[in-house]
Amino acid sequence: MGFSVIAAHVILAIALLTAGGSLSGAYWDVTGDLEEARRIQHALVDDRLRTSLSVTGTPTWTLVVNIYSFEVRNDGATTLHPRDVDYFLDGRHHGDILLETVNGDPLTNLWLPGETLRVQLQNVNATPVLLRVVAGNGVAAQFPR
Amino acid sequence: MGADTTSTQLVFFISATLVAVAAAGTLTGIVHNLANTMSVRGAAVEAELTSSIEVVNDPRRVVTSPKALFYVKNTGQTTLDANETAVILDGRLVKTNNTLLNGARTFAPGALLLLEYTASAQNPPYAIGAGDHTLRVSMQNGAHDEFSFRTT
Repeated sequence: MGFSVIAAHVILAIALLTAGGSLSGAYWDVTGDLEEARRIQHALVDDRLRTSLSVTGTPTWTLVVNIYSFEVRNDGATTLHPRDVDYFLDGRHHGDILLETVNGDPLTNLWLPGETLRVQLQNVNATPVLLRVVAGNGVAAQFPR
Repeated sequence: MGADTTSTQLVFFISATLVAVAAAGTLTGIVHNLANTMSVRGAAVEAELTSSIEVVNDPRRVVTSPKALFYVKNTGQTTLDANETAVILDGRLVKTNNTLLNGARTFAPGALLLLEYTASAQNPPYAIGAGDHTLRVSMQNGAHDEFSFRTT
C-alpha cells in the first residue's frame, strides 16, 4: 500500500472520528434535554391531577364598602401559591384584591393542602352571581357549583 | 528511482491528500449541520413539552359584548411570548388585542393574558352570536388549548 493511500486513510479516519464524536455528543445532549422535558411535563400533569379546590360556604358582598368575601379550600395534595390565583366575577377577571390570607396569614405565598384561602375583593359594585377561582396550574373552583 | 517516478508519486500523494481532505471536510460539514439541526429541533421539542396554556374563562358566562374577553393562563414552566398567539374562533383565524394582567411584564408561568376580540374591519366581520362556539389559542412554540362555550 502506497504512502498516498495511507495518508488518505488517516485523514478520513480522523474526519470520521471527529464527525462521530460531534454527532454522538449532540445526540446525548438532546436525549438528556428531552428526558428532562418529559419529566417536567409529567410533573405538570401529575400536579394538575392532584389539585382540587372548592369554594366553601357562601360568598358575601358588603354593600357599603363594595367588598366581596369568600373562602376557598385546597382539597388536593399539592401546595399552591395564592399570588398565582386569579378570580373571575360573572365572567370577568377581577384583580382588585384587598386581602388574601392563608389560615389567617396574609404574608405567606404557600397554600398547603387542607388550608383555606380567605379572599376579599374590593370595588365590586354588585353581588356577583358567578365566582370562579383559578389556581396557577389552571385548576378551578366555582360558586355556585 | 528516477526523477520522473518521484514526481509522479508526489503528484499522486498530493492528489490523494487533497481528495481525502475534501471528502473529510464535506463529511464533517454535513455531520456538523446534522448535529446543529438535531440540537435546534431538540430545544424546540423541549420547549413545547414544558409549555402549557389554558383558557380559564368561566364557561358559564363568557363576556362577548361589546368585546369578547378570553383569558389565557400560562400553566407550563416556560415564559411565552404574549404577542405571538394564533387565535382561531369557530375555525376562523382572528386578531386579538393581547394584554398581560396583574401587572405582569412577561407571560411567565402563572401569568394571565387577556385576549380581546372585536368583530371589526381588521377581523373577518364575524360576531359571536348565540349558540355554541370553540376557541383555540396556540402559542409560538406549539403550546395550545381549546375552549368550548355557549352564548345565549
